[in-house]
Amino acid sequence: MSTAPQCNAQQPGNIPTPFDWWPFVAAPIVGGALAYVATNGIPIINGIVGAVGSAWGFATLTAGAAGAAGIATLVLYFVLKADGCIRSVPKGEPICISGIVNDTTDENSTAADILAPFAMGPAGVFDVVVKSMYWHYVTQNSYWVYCNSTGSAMLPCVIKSKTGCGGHIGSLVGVVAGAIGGVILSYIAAAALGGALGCAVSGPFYLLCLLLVLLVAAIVAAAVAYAGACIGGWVGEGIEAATNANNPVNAAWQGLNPGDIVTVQGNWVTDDSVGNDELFYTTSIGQTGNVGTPAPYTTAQADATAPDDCPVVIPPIQ
Amino acid sequence: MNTSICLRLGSVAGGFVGVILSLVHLSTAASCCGTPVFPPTFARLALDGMIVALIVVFLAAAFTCLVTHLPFKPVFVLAIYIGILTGVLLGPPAYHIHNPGLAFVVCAFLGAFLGWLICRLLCGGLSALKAGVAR
Repeated sequence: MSTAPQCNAQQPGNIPTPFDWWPFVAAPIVGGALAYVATNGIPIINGIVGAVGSAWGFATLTAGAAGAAGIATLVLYFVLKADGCIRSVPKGEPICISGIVNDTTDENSTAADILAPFAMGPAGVFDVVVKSMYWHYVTQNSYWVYCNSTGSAMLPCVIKSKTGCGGHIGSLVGVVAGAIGGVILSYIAAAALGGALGCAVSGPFYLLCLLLVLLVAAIVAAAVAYAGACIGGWVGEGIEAATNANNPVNAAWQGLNPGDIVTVQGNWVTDDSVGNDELFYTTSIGQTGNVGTPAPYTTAQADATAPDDCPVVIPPIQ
Repeated sequence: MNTSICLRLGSVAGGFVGVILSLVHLSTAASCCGTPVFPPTFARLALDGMIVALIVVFLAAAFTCLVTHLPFKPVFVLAIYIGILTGVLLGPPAYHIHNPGLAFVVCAFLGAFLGWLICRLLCGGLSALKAGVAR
């Protein structure tokens, strides 16, 4: 038996997170698009701008495009995460562990579900106090080890949200439609507001008036694009919920309680934000009993449970 | 957690300050025969930049708190600092970059740098935030 894992931080230095390339790639792309819009307009909307004949039509159009592009970038950032929905999860090792469920957390958030369906994360996570023979799965390559209040090492097991994936795909479609509609609406709103305020007349508040009109254009376009992403996400969630109502892993996870003795299989990776090892995602949960006492649990209690049914040679997950 | 939240808040605030202030200049030139009646002062542009940056970072901070488990107060304090600094510093130069696309890119990168700088100054090694995020 190896020595007991040290809790919390494991090694000096920062977690080697991947380069935060999103802002640096998105900025030149969006900048190039805005330069094009400022120079040439948007083909579909050029006719409207020309017909209205506004002196600063292209400016409001570009402000609207900037607002819509900002939301589109935000949605793309979330839906293109490596969470197994559109992009596959980080390639780890398929492992099997056994122990006692210390706690379960439902990660579903009604607020996020309604207000940001494209940002929905996993369905939930449960922490398993592993048997000492599986300690290496908690410590190897990790920068952080979760322990409960007794100092027993735990491995977080993450549960995939099928409805969240539906939300991501729906949001991707919705934000495209919303962005187009948003740019059109923002131009109309800005033209109406500019006319009402009389921004064409120069005066002490001239710049502030222009700023207000451009801000309104950007915010209206962003709001409509965001609404499109949300509506698309809700539709996607609904479709996914209807077609994946009987997911066995989710059903098994929802039935888990602290104290349950479990054998769990999944994709073993190191989390790139906190640095802990975890199962991302859990692919199988087998419950064999319950220890019958309240949490927290110790490694000794986990070791005292019956031999688990983890295979000696683990077949690759199909 | 690392400095990514500061980089992102800074780049978003800087990018929007860049594009909006640059467009204000374009609108001014288009409406008033290329010569604004009241040439904007540094303070005026800094104020305009701050208005834009604060609106953007408040929306971004609210969204961040909605989708993450980060504590509400530190994120908004961070957002206020980043919004004020990026708005005041990037408003004037953004106005004088006539191409909104170029203004967006330049100010987004400068905003990211300012965000990173604020994170380093306020949070040091970020160990407190990192510990706060860990369950």
